Amino acid sequence: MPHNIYIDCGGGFRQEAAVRMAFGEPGVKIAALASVFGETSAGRGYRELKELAAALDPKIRVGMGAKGPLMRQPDCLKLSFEGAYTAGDSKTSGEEPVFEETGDGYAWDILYEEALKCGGDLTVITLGALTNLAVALFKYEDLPRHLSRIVMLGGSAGAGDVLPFGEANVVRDPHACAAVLASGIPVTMVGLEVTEPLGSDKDAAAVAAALVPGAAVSQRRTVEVETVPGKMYGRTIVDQRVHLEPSGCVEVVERLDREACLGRWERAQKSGKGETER
Amino acid sequence: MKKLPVIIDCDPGHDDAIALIAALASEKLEVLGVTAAAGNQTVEKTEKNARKVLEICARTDIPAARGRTKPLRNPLSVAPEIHGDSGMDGPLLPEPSMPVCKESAAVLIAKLVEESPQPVALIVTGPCTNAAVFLLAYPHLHKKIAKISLMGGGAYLGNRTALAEFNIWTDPEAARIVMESGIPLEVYGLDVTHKAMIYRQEFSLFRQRKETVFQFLADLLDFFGGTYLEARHLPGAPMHDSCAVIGLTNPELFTYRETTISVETESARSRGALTMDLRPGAERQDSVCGKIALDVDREGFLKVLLRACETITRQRREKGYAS
Repeated sequence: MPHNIYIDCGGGFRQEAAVRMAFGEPGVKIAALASVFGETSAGRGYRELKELAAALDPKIRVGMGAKGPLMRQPDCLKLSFEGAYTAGDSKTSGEEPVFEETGDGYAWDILYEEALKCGGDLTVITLGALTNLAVALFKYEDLPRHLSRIVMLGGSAGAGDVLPFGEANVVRDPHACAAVLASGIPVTMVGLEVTEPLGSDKDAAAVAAALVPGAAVSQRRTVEVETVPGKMYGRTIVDQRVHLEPSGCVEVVERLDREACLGRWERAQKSGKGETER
Repeated sequence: MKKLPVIIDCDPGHDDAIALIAALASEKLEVLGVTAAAGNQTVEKTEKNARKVLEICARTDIPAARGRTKPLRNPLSVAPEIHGDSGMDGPLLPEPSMPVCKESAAVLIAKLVEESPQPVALIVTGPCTNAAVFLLAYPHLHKKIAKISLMGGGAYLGNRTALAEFNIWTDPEAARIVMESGIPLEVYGLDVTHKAMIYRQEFSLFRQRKETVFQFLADLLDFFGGTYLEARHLPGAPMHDSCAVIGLTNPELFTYRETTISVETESARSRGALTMDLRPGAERQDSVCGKIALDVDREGFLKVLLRACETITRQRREKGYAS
């Protein structure tokens, strides 16, 4: 049962209930939240998370995350999503808050600081693209020593959503996902085939998998990400061949216990403020 | 005349050392800091070599920091066949006594950029690893980077592979992140750096001068020229990295083509190759913010390097160092 958690959110208000569910879990302390580009811009997401954190617990830190993926999307892809810029881009959308507004700082710095503070007992839950994690891994080479687990909502061992085999969070930044999978940090992948039946509650699925004992049944698998432009771009390649010993440290969730999650999910929704304006 | 503040990220490296000397000698540049990348050798070795060069130039006032130990995605593969086991084999130098910064390269770069009253140019003469980390981790500081001048790649020629030059090949993801940042970019690749060659018969121009800095350069050239003859079959020592410095101080010596430049990271065959468009008329595209150097006035370039050695010799004397 993890005690300290950090949650990367790419969906703004839509992920509020998932955060509240984590907040309501006994024995769990949310150390920090962070925005990342995705369904909403990192800037707008940051502002929404600041409001949410203030309502839950003023001690929760909020980090400003990446405004785009590590690399430009391939030209052939033409997916539109918030974050038409790369993370390393010098341009901004204009609606991003200037850095001086972001009192706590950047997501990757907060993640590292909290990981050190928690003495290695920090679980990261990602509900969006993995860009913030990749930047943290690039900046802090020793970060893998200080994180116990990453639970990522994303990827698929089956069909994709935005692409035939690509799930949105990974397609948004496959290079970042590759960096996370190569880091040596234990990863739990809560993929589309598990969350799809839950519809818009999939963020809750990731939180439940991370926090609720027995909620997730998973299998260790070798997982890689395709970064070559083409039909497999952004695909999490889950090796399901039973005769081979898996390499790496990825647990792929195969099943979620709806009952174990449902009660908590309903409580979290009831305690929410209702629909926030986009 | 206002000096251009610069930060040099390098992996000394023989030609990096000479580039550092050219930068430290120039009256047009103010070197704010030096950061070391893993490339020619491990970062522990390149960082030590950077401090040795700062000490020989009597510039122990300039902070030196160490960057990442590994490229962003692939493992590190060093180049002892060109630069030797220490990364700067040839000259015999004492262990550096000036300290290395506690901060990592990216953190030092951010600190220096933040503190500078005017925009800073980044000169990158090794793999782009540290530069990429800085750009990713400090997006609010991009507006304070005047330009990036980097040695790497080639339009039509590689060295590690047919198309990939060592710096870019060592960390193609980092190079791509740097080049896609939208910051004004100038690239000095093998097409021009092989033309910026000091021929073997010209090494004596340095060897015949008895002063420390000239002897240091002569030792570097003897070793580097030797490995280049054996490993690359070239008739001298190409001054790759000095191009990225002298391109800033003496652009009139170079011929450029404007083009948007990036890196191929996904193809197995062309991984590490630079992408650009040099077809006639291509530079008329909108939103081009880069240029690649394709030719250089070699004799003018050599004169700048000789003058740089004179200047450092004088600076050493002024600070009470032995000639």
